[in-house]
Amino acid sequence: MMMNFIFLGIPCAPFLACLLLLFFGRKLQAKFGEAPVETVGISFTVIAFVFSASLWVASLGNTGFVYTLKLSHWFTVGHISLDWALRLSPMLLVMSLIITGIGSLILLYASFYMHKDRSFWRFYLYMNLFITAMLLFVLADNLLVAFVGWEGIGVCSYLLISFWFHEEENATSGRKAFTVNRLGDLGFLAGILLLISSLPNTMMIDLRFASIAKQAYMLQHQMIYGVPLLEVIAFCFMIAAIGKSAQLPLFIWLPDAMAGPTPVSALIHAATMVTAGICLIIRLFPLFLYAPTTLLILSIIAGTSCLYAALVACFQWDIKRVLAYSTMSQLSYMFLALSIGGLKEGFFHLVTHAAFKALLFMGAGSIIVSLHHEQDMRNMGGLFKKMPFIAVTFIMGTLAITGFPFTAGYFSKDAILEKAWETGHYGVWVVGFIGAGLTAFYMWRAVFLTFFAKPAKERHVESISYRMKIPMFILAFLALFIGWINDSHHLFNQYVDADIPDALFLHKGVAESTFNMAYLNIITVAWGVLAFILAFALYAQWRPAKANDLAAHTGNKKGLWLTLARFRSLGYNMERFVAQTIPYVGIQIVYAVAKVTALFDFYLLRNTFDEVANTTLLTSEGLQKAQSGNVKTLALCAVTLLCGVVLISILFL
Amino acid sequence: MDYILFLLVLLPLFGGIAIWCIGSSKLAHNIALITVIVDLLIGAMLACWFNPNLTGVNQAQSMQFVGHFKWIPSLHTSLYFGVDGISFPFILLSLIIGVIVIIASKEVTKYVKGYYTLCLIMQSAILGILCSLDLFLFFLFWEAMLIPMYCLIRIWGGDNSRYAANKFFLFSFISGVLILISIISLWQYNSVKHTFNLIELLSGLQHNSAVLSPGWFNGDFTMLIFICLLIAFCIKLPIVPFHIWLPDAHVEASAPISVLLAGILLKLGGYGILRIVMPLFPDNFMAIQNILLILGVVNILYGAFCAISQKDWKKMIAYSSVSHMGFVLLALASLTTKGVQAAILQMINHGFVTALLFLGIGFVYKQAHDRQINSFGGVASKTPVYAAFSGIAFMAAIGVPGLNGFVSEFLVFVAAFQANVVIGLIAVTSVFISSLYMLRCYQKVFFGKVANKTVELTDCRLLDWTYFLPLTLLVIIGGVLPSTFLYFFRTSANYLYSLFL
Repeated sequence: MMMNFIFLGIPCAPFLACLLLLFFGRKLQAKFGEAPVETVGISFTVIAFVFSASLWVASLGNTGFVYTLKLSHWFTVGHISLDWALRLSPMLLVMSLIITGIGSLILLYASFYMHKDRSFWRFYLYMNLFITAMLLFVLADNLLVAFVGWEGIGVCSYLLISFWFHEEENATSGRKAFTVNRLGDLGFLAGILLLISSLPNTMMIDLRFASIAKQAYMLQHQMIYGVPLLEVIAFCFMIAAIGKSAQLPLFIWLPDAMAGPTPVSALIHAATMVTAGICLIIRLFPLFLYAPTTLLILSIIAGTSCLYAALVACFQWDIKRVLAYSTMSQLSYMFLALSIGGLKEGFFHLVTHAAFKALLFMGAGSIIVSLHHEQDMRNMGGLFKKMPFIAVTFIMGTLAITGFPFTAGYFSKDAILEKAWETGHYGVWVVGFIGAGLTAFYMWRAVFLTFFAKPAKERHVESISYRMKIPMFILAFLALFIGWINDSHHLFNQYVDADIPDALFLHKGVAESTFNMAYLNIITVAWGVLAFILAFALYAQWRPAKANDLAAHTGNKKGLWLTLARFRSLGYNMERFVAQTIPYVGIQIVYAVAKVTALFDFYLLRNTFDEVANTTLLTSEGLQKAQSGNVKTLALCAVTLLCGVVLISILFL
Repeated sequence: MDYILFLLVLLPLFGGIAIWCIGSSKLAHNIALITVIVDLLIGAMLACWFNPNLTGVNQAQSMQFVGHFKWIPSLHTSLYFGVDGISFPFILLSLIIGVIVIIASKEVTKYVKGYYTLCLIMQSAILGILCSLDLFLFFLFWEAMLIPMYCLIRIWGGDNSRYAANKFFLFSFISGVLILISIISLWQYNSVKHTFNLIELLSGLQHNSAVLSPGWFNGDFTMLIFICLLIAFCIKLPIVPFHIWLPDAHVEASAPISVLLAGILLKLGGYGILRIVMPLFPDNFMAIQNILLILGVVNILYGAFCAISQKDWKKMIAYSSVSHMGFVLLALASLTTKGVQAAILQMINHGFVTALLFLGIGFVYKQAHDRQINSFGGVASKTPVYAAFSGIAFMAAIGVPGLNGFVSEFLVFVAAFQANVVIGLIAVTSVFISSLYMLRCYQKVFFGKVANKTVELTDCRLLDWTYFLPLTLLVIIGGVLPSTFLYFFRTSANYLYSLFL
């Protein structure tokens, strides 16, 4: 009973905060200022975190439990019967720990970031709604409830990205995010529908995650239009996952999503939204087991995205965009891991990434706040002395993401690379290896540009509140040490196994590698150091005046700088082309079709009707004249009629 | 008990007459409101007594609240009222929408008495259609809708309402004529018994054996009647290309009348197919199933694409209605047990959502006197409460789960996938397309800089709350606990489907 209450409390607590803020938020803020609003906004998520944590502590040592809680019946139609039900397993518990834990920290951080905003209460309302939706998605017991959460995430990200909706641009970014996400949702929905329609009518369908494995087994030999059915279904869900988790080609919403307040970026990019896709694939992995081609496509997509995003990140000037592309590239690592069956490794990277990416976003947000909403790294520089706390934590995050030995990223990224090597996916290993180098390069580039390069001009730096420092401190600690929890215990292995027992037989049949993994480790670390040195050489002494415009370099005629500048503009154009032009053309095609349809509707259908009506009217007016009573007209009519009758008789008789 | 449905149907009519006779236009609104609320209470009472386990459809003994009285013996027609699971949800829908319409009409200032009288006559006619089990009676009520609706569009409509009202009249009239021709043929060429009694017809005509082909026609005569009736109801639903009356009518009608139009009148087309066409002609319906499936999908996409390029806010919503009604046809044509339930649920849900959307437009229009999407901007910063209500309506219209639109659309998709995977896949794309036009409209109107037209807007007053809030609650309940609605028609829908087995 207690257990049920606590479990139910996890998603309900933030939802309660939503309701409170929805009904009283505006009045509270108007009357008592921000304090009560933030109390409500933060405390309920903290409660959810405490609930999750207590369940986690209670379940320590028991890594195999799966617990479901039925709240109410949703609907029964035909052989489909769905419940509002929640499911708890070790993996999902870890997910909800991340969501509520990092969520609470972000909410605390936001209380300063959003300070003095007119719609302070609205921000907390949306954030809590977002956390609720995410928890609903993660804790859902069946696919359709998960879809509710899934779409809820999309709606909330729409609301949050366009939070400052007075600016047309923000609203457009939000809409773009939602629209692209809808494309992914299309995949999700199509996957569910294909699954339902291919299962026999005699079977009661509840779409529970628990029964996915059995259903996949049943359907493994079914074909649809000559293609294995499960490949199609898995492909649909894959589209959903890459839409939410921002992989090629559906990542286009992600850079624009930076329009929202920075805590939103942290929440969307680190803890929650983008990891939903990973979470989905892990939970549906029994389906993907029977879809090797889809997994291959996934690995190709992830590999391309990984390199593309890392490369593009090297050319960005906006600090938030660097982090956005970095997120995309890190997510590709997770997808790469999943595509070769490394659920545990992918999930592990998800956890560590949540910590250090939230930290990095908070760092970036702090810098942005201190510099009065300056996001361009060219206008920063030399900030190390002015904001040592931020600089140190940011560098900690950088160490973690670049996989510096014994930080969080080191363990998780190496786990993925090792997995790739072990299972003989050398292509994946190479991509991951190159990506690791690029990651190190762009992250150190950002660090040098922000903290060490010569500043363009002396800037006034605003100091930041302890409310921002505490979450950053905690996250910095996690970013450095969270990796240790998995080492040697293989905690995540067991966690994932509780949900996806089938993942076990992926581990089977793998040839034991005689290669010593330590060498790989050393190579990867060395590679990262190399990238660090390169970034140092290029950007540590970097002066904005030198690089501000391309012409300065081309006039300079120095070989390296010239090449670099050209390369940079190429990268910039590539980003623009892929992220702006292609979607623009695509949407214009849709609009063109719409235009043609509307023209057809208006001019052809509507006018045809009008013409018919008018003709009827004219005919009747014409016929009226015949009944004028005028003898001459009558006679004329009579004669015409007679002629007609005679004519017809001659022709037909 | 025999008279309860008569009371339900005729009460609004009496109310209307009372308004006309009393002569005070100040009282008109209140009388109308009391009438529809009492009617709603009667409906709520019936909902409590309603037995959802009785099948109805073609079984006289399982019809509920039956009232059967002699009327014109020479025509074999009688005053025969009764409800079953097919008609009851629609009755509840029209009772609720009726109350909403009257509340929202509070600010009508022109010919107040006439307005409410006509509204109440409309209400009676609609309820009459939904309750009557005699085709002649059905037809009478069907035609009784025509003139009041024409006047409501024409007199209380916009600048171009003459054109729109005429168009509405012509299309509805054609639809009425087609129904008349069909029911006379059914009477005339029935080999078993000359009758207008729907139940008797259903039991006699079950498999087309009873309708004789007249001497002058060699061919499938039942098919001919079937097509006539189908077109008649498709004009109302509306199905492309018979939809062209709808955008004009919507644009010119005032907001409450648009609600009446989109909330109930369109559903009568779907109801006609469910009540008359499908049970009477199962074989014919099955024969052209594929055509109907394609028509359904075409309707969904055509409406959606048309909606994308509309500049008039109301017209956009009107086309989205066309698109949503395509779902109904698609679900019906899928010929599955889910399909029938999905179609009814979709109609009910669309009734609430579209009412919310049209009232939302009306809310702005009565203050700004403009409907062009581009003339607005930043409405959300002036009127946050209204923006929130509208936001929920927009989200429901694009089928965000948790709101009612999703459940019914999902069920329609399930049914469509079961019928034909390719058709289903094409239909699912509407999820994306609908988000294109809805979100663009929402952004243009509610977000961005405050436009000139928006500056003067004031937020919801108590009156606005009284219709926004109940509808929003219904939209949310429909999404979270759709069983509340499914409860009424599950058995009947399954039974209707079993006629096709």
